[in-house]
Amino acid sequence: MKKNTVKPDAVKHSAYKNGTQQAIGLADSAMGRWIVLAVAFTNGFVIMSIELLGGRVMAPYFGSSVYVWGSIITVFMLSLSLGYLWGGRLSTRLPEVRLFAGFFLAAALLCLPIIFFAEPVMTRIFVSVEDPRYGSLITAGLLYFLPICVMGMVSPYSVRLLVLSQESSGGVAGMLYFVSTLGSALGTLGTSFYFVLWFNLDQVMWGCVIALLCCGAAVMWTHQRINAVAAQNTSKRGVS
Amino acid sequence: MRGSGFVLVLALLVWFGLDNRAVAQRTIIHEERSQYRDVVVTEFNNQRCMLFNVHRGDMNQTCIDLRDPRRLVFNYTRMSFAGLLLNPEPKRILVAGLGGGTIPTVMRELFPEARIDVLEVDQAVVTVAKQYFNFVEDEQLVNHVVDARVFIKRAGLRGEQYDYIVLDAFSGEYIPEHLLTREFLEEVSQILTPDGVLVANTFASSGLYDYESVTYQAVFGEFFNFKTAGSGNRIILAKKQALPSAAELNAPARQLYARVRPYGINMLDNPAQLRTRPDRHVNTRINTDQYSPANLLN
Repeated sequence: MKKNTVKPDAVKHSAYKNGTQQAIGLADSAMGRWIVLAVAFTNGFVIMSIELLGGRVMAPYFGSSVYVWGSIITVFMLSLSLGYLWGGRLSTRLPEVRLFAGFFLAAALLCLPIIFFAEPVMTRIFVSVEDPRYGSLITAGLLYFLPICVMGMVSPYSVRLLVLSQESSGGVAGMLYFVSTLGSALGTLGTSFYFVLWFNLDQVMWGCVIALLCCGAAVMWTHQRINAVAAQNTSKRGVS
Repeated sequence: MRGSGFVLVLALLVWFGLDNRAVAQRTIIHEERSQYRDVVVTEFNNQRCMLFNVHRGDMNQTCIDLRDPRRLVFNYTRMSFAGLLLNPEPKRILVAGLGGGTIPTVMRELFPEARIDVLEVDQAVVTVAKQYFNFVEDEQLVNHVVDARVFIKRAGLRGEQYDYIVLDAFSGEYIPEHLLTREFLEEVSQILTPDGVLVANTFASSGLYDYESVTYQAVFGEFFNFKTAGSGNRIILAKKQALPSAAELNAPARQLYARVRPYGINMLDNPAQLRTRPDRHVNTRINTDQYSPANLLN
């Protein structure tokens, strides 16, 4: 992350043309900051929940041997790493709250194939790939790469939305890592200890989809609220 | 302060000392590195045992009697041969879970004509079974290092059939949850011949008992429950066809008696111990691929 480019880039962006920072930030209202942290937490939670379920999704076809977990973790790490890279790049080129909300919508939609097409996909791969190591690796790639990649983009992008100055960038990034990794920890714990005991796999997956959609909606709603308040303030100032 | 530190160190020394002594009673003769958990071979009192988690006081996975290697040391191993009452002359045998290779080795001796496939996910267990437990592969008895679910699903696609299937993959600390689901049992049923028998070694007393029962019931209908006093295991004997009455099993028991006696199995006792009466809560949830929290229920 090129932190020293944050300032000039932000200035370049159209939202800053009127000299205020409110439009892309979400950062200058407390509610906006809380929402970004909350969705980063949820995002981390959902990622690990889906990862843990992945083992159960794939076990009927590829077993639960150490290879299967190896495949899942490899694919998740790879997806996240590329997500971080692309999310970071997008955040410098196109910092838009609406795009941020779009990540959650996209991630939710990209999770649906895990619910609806996992079985036929795994059947095809099971038949054509004998070795369960590569079978599970290919399956994990097909099912999880896209949604997890998009979820990975959330992290650097939310840093971009919250950072107002170079000095605060490390603190903001640290805070975001903190909440999203805390979310991951709780997602892991909740899923492995409780959710699999209370729900079917697909029900937990639907929970993840709904949580992601709620994140997107919350971001959009907050964005509009903040804009509305800002517009009100501006018009008041105009009158006086 | 210094005094309490000394006491603490002393307590730790005593604790470790005791711990070591508990292990040292049994001589560790081999440790095999594994992708899953290291496999340890111990010897004590003329018994050689395979253990998975020696430091946490894990139970023996499998043992052989060094003075009389044919005698089956464990009760549940002897019990599992009750499956022969339902199919006295198996020709195609599948054993999921190798351990020390006791069950497949005995089957190989009893039925020299039969073709036996063994499934074991951990290569280290296979290595140890061969080196220390007299497990020998040949053209009739073949071990496959593979997850049982994967092998059975593939066997189903190839249209292969077995007339005697033993599921013995549940004796470890961690239960393979994908081997306890309705879908898995349906895949097993698919490779079972119409007159074949399924022998499953499971737990007699755990939170899993009812779940397991209703899941087997859902796929196979009525099955024989085989429990003996003092054994933590129960054997499930299931068929695709209707079960014979327990009285009908007396004839095969007499016929098998002499052949299995050298292994310490008293086949004549078995028919009277098989029960079909449900001893479970029938409204328990069935385990499926969607819902199989076996390790949390256990």
